[in-house]
Amino acid sequence: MNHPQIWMLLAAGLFGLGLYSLLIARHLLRQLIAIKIMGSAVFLILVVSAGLLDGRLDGIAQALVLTGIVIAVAAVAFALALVVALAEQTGAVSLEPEDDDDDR
Amino acid sequence: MIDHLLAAAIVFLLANLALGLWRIWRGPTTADRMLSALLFGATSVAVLILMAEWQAIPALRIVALLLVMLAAIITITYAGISRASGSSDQPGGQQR
Amino acid sequence: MTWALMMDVSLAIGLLFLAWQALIGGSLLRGIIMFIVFGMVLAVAWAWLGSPDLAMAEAAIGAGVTGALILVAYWRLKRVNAVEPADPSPLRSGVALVVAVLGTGLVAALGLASVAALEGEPVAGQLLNEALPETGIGNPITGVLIIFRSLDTLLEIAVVLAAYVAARAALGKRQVDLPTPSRDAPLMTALVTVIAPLAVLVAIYLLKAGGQIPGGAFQASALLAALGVMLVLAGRLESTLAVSLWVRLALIVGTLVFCLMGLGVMLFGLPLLAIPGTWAVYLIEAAMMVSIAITLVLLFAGSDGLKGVGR
Repeated sequence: MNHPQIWMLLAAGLFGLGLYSLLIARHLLRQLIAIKIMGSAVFLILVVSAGLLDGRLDGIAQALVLTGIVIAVAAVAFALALVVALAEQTGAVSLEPEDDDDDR
Repeated sequence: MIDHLLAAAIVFLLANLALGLWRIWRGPTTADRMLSALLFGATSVAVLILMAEWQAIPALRIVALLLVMLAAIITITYAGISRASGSSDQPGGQQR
Repeated sequence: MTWALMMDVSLAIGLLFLAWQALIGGSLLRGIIMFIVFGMVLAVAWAWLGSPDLAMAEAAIGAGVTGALILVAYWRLKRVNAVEPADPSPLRSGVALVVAVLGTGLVAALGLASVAALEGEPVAGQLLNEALPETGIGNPITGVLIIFRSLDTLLEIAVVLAAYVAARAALGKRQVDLPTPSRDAPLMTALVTVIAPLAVLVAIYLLKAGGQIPGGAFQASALLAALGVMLVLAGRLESTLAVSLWVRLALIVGTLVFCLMGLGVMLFGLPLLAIPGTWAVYLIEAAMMVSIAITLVLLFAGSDGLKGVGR
């Protein structure tokens, strides 16, 4: 990691892309992917902003992010169960009100 | 000298990844996408092994080992699901 | 331009491109595949940043297991013919663009400021490196996860268990659809016969090696979970609603062993959640590996139990 600035800019870019997609996407799966990518940006920031120790990444930041990755997959699995249950019961894969679809 | 060669080889492999990416983007059939996903697995393994040598982090070879296992498993999983969902097997059968 | 800078830039550009492909435009299925590829490239990026542990976790959990979960959810949504939502109105895209640009600017400013504010070496990391040799564990990440911040890890595995219970509650007491297993597909038997034992071997190696070098319970459990998903899709494991004692026990063994160990040491005058030795680290990690792996497979299958299918 010779250039932490590049990684910070990457994290900002990923966060922005994720935020944009989260706001415009209406399919819940797409919104979930957007949240996952924003999460990856946060992980990058956590690790890079902790700095280097003897040229190696900070062990505590790495452990934090490792915990975060596992929590994220559990949260995604729960969210997907909710999406599937919603689709089975209402036939919708979006949280938008139905009448919005009329103006397309 | 050897460092430069290793670095150049990694950059070359990354360029290969970019080409594989184009195939995934382009499709058009599921088989194309699956094959380039396999290419991704194999190339990432090569990148990691070269990086282990270049950066002197031997543990990256374990990452490569894990990727080898995962690539095979992901391919079977993806094949199973896309076979079952049917319509994406058609050429140009992109689903919205 | 040095090679290192070239690596930084090409990985960054590649990741941004993949995220863009995963999120905006194109079919949803393609977006999901792009997201899985994003996870693999992010794993290479973690490796490049010098963190093999995160590279393994990202590849196995971030790309592999998450990808399989999203793919099977996509397949289930197709099955119920859910109504696809329409594209957003231009006004909404405009507002979203402004918010996203502002958000990007904010994150970039904070990130660059935190890089500029870095002075000297991280204090906490230094303390960790000083305290680690006494524990007999060589991998600092395993040290933090099991010894120094054991409460975090205990709560983490409890969250994974809670997510499973919540997901089952959301779907109700019934079998969720799964793609028909491709039992007799060509090469499947050969592949399964070769891969399954190898994956178990590599998982146990990762668990054992994780004490001293990168690896550990989470990476090992993700590999086992990926193997379980493959076995379900290959028709070698069948999801069932029958509650088996062994499956239930496997679900909770991680939390159980961790709690019992944390309380048990108090009988010997040690503080709560103290780790009495390296054997305890390996014991807890092994129990967590079993629990997380079976939880993830059951989340994929959307069922209460699993049973082997005879040949």
